[in-house]
Amino acid sequence: MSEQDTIEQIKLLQQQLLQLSAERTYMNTERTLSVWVRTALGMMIFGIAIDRFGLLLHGLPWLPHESVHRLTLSTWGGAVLVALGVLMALTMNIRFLGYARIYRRSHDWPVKHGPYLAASFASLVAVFGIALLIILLAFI
Amino acid sequence: MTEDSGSRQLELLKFLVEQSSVRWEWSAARSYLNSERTLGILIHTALALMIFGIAIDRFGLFVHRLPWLAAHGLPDTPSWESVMLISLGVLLALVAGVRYLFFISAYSHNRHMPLRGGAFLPPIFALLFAAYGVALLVVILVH
Repeated sequence: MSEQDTIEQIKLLQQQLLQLSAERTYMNTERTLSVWVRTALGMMIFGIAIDRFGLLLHGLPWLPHESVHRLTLSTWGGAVLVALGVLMALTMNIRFLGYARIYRRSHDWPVKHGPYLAASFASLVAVFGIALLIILLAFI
Repeated sequence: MTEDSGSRQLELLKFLVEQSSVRWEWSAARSYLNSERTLGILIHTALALMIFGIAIDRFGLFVHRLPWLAAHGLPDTPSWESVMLISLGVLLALVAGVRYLFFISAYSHNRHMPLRGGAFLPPIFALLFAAYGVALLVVILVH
């Protein structure tokens, strides 16, 4: 192999290493979004649990008629957590999409790894949270 | 070594340095993302601690209000386990959030943030969640 060929091969390998490094970073970003979506889901679960526990304890049939208010402290507490979850899923998703846009300017996506799957699921979780919030505040 | 060969090798070295500096940036970005993911997981752990705490407290209240146990006059006071678990959750979210703030202030000194416009979002969420935990503790202890 001539010196020129060796130099060309080193350059090619370096470019491939760079692409792989970029792909790993992109996948890291996607995984980070996934962790945030899971945390947002956890907050929503906690919110719903707080609301339902409040409802359960206030509405026990054998207790002297404790009136079940439509919006108790538990409901507000639960709603705040669900709202925090929605905010988390939304902002992290927007940030991820911004990153993906910048990434695409200089690199190819990893094979079959466009940003659509992670971003759509984050959006769906946010939409689910908004629906949950409406149900929580509008109905018991 | 001929002059031509020397200049080709110099060109290769320049190319390697250039590529290495770009790879260094990607590597730094991965470290940043790793740290953010760690914060996310720690918030998740804090969340689990608080959920466990609130579950113990509420189930305790529920059991105390069962008709065949209510006659014994069991107190409606919060259990120490639940208070401890929620406090641990608050502490974890708080410490992780503050630690992350220190990390990003050091990180952003000589590197640009990989996720623009949102570097302060994760610690804000951590601190908001810690504040929520404090409110929860107050409600449990006072209510």
